[in-house]
Amino acid sequence: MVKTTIEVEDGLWRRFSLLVLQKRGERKKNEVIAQLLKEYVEQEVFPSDPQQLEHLICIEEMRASFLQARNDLIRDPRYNGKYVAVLQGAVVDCDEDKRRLARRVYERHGYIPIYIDMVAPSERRVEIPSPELASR
Amino acid sequence: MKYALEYTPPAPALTVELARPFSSQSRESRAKLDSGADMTVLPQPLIGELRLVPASRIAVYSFNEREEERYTYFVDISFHSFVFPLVEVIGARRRDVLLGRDVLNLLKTTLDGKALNFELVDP
Repeated sequence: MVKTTIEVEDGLWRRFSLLVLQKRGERKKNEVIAQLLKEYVEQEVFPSDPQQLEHLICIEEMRASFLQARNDLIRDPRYNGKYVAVLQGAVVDCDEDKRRLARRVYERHGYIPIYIDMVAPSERRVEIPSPELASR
Repeated sequence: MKYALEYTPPAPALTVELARPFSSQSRESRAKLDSGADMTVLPQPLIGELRLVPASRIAVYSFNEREEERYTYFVDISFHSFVFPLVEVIGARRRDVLLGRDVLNLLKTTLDGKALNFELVDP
């Protein structure tokens, strides 16, 4: 269990407290907040497996290193416009082809979280635009 | 190959094998060809089952320009005699795979919607 503190606007907190009191009774605010947190996480596509979560945290740390170094990488002709692999805060390899890069770094370092992204001024974006009919 | 009639309207779909890289661990899944998709999409549970390791995070835009952030993973994809190692994919809350242009552009795809047939070849 984790204990945390949050700041909420005064009026919002009063209204929330009254609503919880009316609907759930006294001393139920924490329960409602915990339930809201749970619902928020579960409605997203997000893993619950502890190892997967650990991997995502690793990737986020390496992504932060990548974003911090991005401007320098853009200025460096060795990396600009190429895919780079970031491991433990450092660029360990680069290639124009991300699949070739992935193969090389996984073979060298093992199949572990290694951040792979393109060195470009903006972040990568993809479109998955096809609307689908709901199944009957 | 025949269009799959489980989709309405019928759609070009086939069974693909997805494997954890550098491992024999694999799963089969139905996959719909989606030439509109920039990237291949996997059902999220398969990512957990294959214990795929995340590699990146990207912005994904849907048909109504709604933006979502998604983690990417590399996975080996094979079907018929074709093998595509280390394809970068994203996960989504869906039951089938969407085979995007990242894979389709490695092949020649012919759709005959009138006859509900399609063909995938590597000329």
